[in-house]
Amino acid sequence: MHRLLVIRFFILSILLLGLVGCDDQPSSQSTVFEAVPATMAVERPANAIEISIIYAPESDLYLPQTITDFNSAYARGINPLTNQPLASGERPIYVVGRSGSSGTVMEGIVNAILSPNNQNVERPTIFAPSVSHWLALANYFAGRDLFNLAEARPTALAPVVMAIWKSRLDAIRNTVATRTGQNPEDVQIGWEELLQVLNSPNGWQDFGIPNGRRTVYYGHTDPYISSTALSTLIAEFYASARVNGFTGRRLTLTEVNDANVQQGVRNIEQLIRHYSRRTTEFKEYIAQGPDYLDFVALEENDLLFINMGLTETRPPEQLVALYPKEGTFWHEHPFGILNASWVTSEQAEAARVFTEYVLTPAVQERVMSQGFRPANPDVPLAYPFVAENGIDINQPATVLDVPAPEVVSAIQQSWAFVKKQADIWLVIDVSGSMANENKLEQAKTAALAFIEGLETNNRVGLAVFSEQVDILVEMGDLERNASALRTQIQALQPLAGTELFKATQTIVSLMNTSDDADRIRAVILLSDGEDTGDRTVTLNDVVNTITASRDAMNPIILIPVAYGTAADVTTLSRMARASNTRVQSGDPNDIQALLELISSYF
Amino acid sequence: MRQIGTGIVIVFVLISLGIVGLGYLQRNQPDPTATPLELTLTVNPMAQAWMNDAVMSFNTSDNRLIDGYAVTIVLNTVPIDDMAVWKNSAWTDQNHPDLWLASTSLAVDYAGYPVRIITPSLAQSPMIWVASADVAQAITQDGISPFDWQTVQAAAQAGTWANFGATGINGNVNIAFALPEGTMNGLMVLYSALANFNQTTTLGNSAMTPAYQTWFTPIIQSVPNLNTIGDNVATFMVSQRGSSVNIGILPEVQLLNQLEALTTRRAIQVAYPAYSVLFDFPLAEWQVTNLPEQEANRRQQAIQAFSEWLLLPAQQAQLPRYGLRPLSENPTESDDLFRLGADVGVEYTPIFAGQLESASVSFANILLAWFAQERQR
Repeated sequence: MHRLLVIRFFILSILLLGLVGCDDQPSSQSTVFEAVPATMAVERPANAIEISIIYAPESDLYLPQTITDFNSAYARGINPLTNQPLASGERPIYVVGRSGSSGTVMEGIVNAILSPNNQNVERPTIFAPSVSHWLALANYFAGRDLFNLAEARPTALAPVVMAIWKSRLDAIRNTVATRTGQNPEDVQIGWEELLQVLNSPNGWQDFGIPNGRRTVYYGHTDPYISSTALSTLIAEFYASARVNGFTGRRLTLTEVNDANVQQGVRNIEQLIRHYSRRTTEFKEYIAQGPDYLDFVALEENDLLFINMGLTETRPPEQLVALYPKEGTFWHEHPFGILNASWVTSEQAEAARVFTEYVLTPAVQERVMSQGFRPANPDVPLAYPFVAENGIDINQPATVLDVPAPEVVSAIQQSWAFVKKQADIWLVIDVSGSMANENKLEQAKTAALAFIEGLETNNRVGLAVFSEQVDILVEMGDLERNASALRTQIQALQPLAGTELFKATQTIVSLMNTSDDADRIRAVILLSDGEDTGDRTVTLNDVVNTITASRDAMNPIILIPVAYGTAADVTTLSRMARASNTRVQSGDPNDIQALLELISSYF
Repeated sequence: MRQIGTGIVIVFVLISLGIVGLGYLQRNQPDPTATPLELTLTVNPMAQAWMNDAVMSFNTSDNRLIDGYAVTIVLNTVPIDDMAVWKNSAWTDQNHPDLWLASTSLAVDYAGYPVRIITPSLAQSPMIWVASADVAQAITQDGISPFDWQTVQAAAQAGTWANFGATGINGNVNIAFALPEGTMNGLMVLYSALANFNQTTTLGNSAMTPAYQTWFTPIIQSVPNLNTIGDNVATFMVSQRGSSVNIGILPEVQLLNQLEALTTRRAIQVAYPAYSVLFDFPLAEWQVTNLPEQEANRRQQAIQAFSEWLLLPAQQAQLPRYGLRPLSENPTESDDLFRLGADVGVEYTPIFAGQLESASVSFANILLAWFAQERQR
């Protein structure tokens, strides 16, 4: 009996030691995995169910870390939802994710169904655009329910706002209050009041801003790509339809196709200084101050991003969120799980698990820290959602009804004829130094890409300068002169001399003589060196000519591109400042991407 | 020396106790030669919280021990709506749960899977209206009219609160219900409207009269964005986006689980539609035909044991904690959620003019197709 006891004692001890050893192992693994940086990939477990997600660019602020945490838990054998070890037979899940512009990804998914040989084809398990419009549009374009909209759960909330300088908003509020006899605090502001500034003979000066511009500068992105732009354009159609007597709840094709409603939208678009492809750029543009733009359509989180000092440029004063009185949209960042042949039922279930994980309070706290309102109502709103950051948590008070997909699609298509068209001079330096480092050849490729990127309703002219200024293609509709532009660009040769000042002066003066108030007027000036001209035109002359245009109702935008290391950045910066723009820097490696980006302004 | 001796004695006493304890545990463990039986369970989101706790409790109870082997219920961590099961063909012969707790027997019927209902109902929850108190006052004319489909429809017909003649309420008449094409409770809202318009408990094509279609259209138009409400109107209403919702219709269980948050944000009033549609939470089994007889018998015994355990009075008594109604006992004042609900109109024993009895899958499809077309107008 004693011997039996001793044997049992030893067995027990060994078992206990074994248990202690087992306890240690996960904890040491845990330490290793928790130390993995957010951007480092976690090894995929061999038996994992792999799913993919393509999300809106702004979700880059929180989803990569979230994906890493999720994958790390499974790699440790832990279910991240329950924090319990995986049950027997329960397979780990592995998520791969990347960002993509909502409109482009939506097209790619539809192409995967209807046109699988197209260059743009996307086959994710989850598509997480900024707003559900894209999921409804995907269903509409594909002609089938690619997404169960009721199952596409919101994961981060952000209303679309107008980010406007506080001084500008106060000016409007005070002026309207004086005119109507209201308390300034009671004045509700929307498109109606913003248009009043535009239509006022002296612009901002009539609204109490000394030396204020005569015109209003507004900006938004491309509604074919950007969710914010799409929601903004729909809101503009609502605002215009109401002015034209629409009393219904939801826009229909009747309103969208109404010539008066379209003209109303065109009037709003007249406020546009320039467009851009991505919201990311607009955050930087607006941060430059009221001289550059008066207000921009953004998601509320972008406004918080700027006011929290996270842009490269520190804004000179506070931006505040204007929630237009006519109404706005919530962007819900829904997780749409694809109902398509490339998603198995196992993957769909795994996608639901990941969605649940993103909605857990811990992840939602992270989402909120990046300026999005939490989608999980159990997580109370906290910092950065404070009035000091320019937002109002009780807004938006009026939310617009989302029109049917075919109406949203029609609004998108209307973009080509309601947007503000542009007159653009492309001015290229062909001095001798452009022969070095293959600069001219790269510039030619970039200029061709620039032309390709423009809408054909724009008008474009081409000028070059070396020891003289030559207008190679007169300003004209791109549809008609695209061929001449291509031919001339391909034939460019380097020559001696750099008449930078004379060229700029000539083109800006030329543009000033043909003032078309309905169009953006822009000069894209690509230069790789200092002015070596005869100095009959000085830098001051150029700056004065540009400055004179600033007081026009439709000022010229000069966008200088400092090309290569020898470019005279100081001179180009002075010209840019006179036009309230900034010098863009490029070299032969990235000049094409830069000019493509600039083409998205128009 | 005496201390060392005492220490040795204590160590031996502890070891002895440990060995005796282990022996006891061994005797009470299932037969180690028998393979444990795991049953997977997927539930509707409305029952997930309840079933999560119930399964944990079952898995540690003696009821799971059957003839010397242990049954473990493995609850899918992610619930799934009945409509997703039905419309998305979520399950295959190779990938399916053993047990499915749907929100309604209708869904089990519609889904068309090889499933068999083991227990027709484990819990209950009726459909309920919720509105801001000022809105409820306005549409019922301070309580003169009942808060029902007719009064809600009249407000929807007006379009805006100004048109309806309600002073102090701004903007459009905003109604919220779950998307019928995407959720079972959304489809049940359509059934509720039809049953109440026609004052009937059996729904078929004859109920879809032109008069009904005309009557219901303004209600569809009053939902600002059906696509993004999701499957839980109560959660939507307490979220930031839901602040503009005036009236919602939803399962009572969803309302009760968000009641505290809802009443913190605004004063509300609830009411039951006269003709009720009831969520009955049936437990269904995926019928497996290729198991050896002994294994099939064990599986049946296990399913039966779990099902019967859920119907025990002690387990049924847990339901009100989750906002669900037990089968045989009504909730009482001692049930916190229902007591809180009673202050805004939740009834311990609601009385209905009638209760939906049947609606075929073909009729469901016709109704959904009509709704999809109508909401795009």
